[in-house]
Amino acid sequence: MNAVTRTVWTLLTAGLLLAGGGQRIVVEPVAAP
Amino acid sequence: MSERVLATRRIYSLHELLVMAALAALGGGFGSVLSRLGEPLRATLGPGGMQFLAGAHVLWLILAVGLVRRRGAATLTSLLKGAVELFSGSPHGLLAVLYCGLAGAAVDAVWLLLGRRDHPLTYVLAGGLGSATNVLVFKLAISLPAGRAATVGLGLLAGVAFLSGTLLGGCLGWTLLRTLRRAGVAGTQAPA
Repeated sequence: MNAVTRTVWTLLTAGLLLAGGGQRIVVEPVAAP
Repeated sequence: MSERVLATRRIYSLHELLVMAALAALGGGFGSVLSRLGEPLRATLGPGGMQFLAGAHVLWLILAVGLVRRRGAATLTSLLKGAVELFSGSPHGLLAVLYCGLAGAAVDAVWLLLGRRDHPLTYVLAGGLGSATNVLVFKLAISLPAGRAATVGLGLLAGVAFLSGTLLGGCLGWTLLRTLRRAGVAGTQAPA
């Protein structure tokens, strides 16, 4: 895997996973009731 | 290809990439909530009320520049932040990526032009200019009638956004950076 692919891939997966997880943990319980 | 050759070809280390991803995730989630505050802000502060909080979008980019200290860090962080905003339901839609990307490019450009100095003034200027660029995208996105009044209005909005960027982006960002470094969270990397 070349350097650019590795950078973009790591950033995308880590960033979107963190954002999605954060939203599920923080936002959804607040919005549920 | 040997491990050594691979290591020299790395653009960012894994630690730096994860710092950028975490900042983009935080900024994106925060940004899409902030964008939804637009309606009440416009109702209370008049048209352009959102510009008073525009600097809060740039805070994450300032932190990315200060923590990663590499060329392109703010631009990459901001593009990812734009993607997170887009997917988490920002009312701006696809334009969020454009708003964020341009702000990141401006922050990076100012930081590089000022010689990558680790000085509050660098961060304050980068924050202000990065924040003010959103007016450019705003002008592109809506078809404003060409005229003196529109230009003055946009100039005023850019001024408010710049001030907001210096305070919420630059000053707050610098204070946070200093605190993070003192606490040892930001690692022990020496300023370049």
